[in-house]
Amino acid sequence: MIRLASLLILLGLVPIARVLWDPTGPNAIHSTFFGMPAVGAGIVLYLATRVFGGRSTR
Amino acid sequence: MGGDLGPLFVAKPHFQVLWIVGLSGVAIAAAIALYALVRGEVSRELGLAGLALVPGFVIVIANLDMVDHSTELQFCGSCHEPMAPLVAALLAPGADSLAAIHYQSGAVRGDTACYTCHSGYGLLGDVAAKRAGLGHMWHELWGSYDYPLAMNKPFDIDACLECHRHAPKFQAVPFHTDPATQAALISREISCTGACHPSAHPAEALNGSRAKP
Repeated sequence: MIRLASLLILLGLVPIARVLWDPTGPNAIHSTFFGMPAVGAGIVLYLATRVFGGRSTR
Repeated sequence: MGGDLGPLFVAKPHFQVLWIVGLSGVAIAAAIALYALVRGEVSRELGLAGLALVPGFVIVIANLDMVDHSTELQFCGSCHEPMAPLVAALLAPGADSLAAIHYQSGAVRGDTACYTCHSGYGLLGDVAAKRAGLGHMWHELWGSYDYPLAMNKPFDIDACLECHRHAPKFQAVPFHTDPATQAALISREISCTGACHPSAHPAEALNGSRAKP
C-alpha cells in the first residue's frame, strides 16, 4: 500500500509540476484535473494505511 | 506581445514566489515518494512529511497559483478548441466586436481582458467566475462543449456598469437615463449588446476551432 500511495503521489506530482512551471500553457487544466486527484488519492491511501495498518510500515 | 516596438511596450515581469515554493515542494515530495516506492517502506516521520503534508501543501499552492493565473487572457486561450477563435477575434486588427473594441482601445487590461468582463461585479462575481470556470474545465476535459457557444444565463451587465456608470460620456446618453430602458436592462430583458451595441464576440468565433470556415 505504501508503494501504491507513493506511485500515485509521484504520478500526480508530474502534471502538477508542469502546471506550476507553465500555468497558462496548452492543456494546463488537464494536468490539474488529473494531477491533484492522484496526489490526493495517494495521501488518503497513505494515511489510511497508517491509521488502519497498525505499526507496520509496509 | 509588443516587444518589437521597444521597451515601453514590454510588461514588467511579476516576481511570483508561489510557483517556486510549489516546485520546491514537488521536488521534496517526489524524492521521498520515490524513496518509499523503491524501498517499499518509510519511517513514520518521513512518510508523514513526504507522503501527506508536503504533497498536501503542494496541492494548495498549485491551486492558488492556478487561480491566480486563470485570470489571464493566455490561460483562457489555452483551451484551444472553444476559446482560441475568441482570443484570435479579440486580437484581429480592425476587429469590431465589443470585446475587440474594448481590448484594442485599452479600455480593459490586456492581460486579463476575458476575466474583467466575465467575472461579474464584486467579490461574488469573482467567486461565480471561478465556479463557472470549473464547468468550463469539465467541458474542455471531456470535449462536451456545444457549438455555437452560448451563455447559459443573461450576461451580468453590472460588469459593464462597474466601469461605465461613472463616466460622464455614458451618463450623457439619453437612452441610458430613460426609465423604461433602465428597467429593461435591470430586469435583463435586454442587454447592452445586440440591439444597441455590437455583439461581444463575432458569431463565427463561437463555433470552436474545428468549425469549417
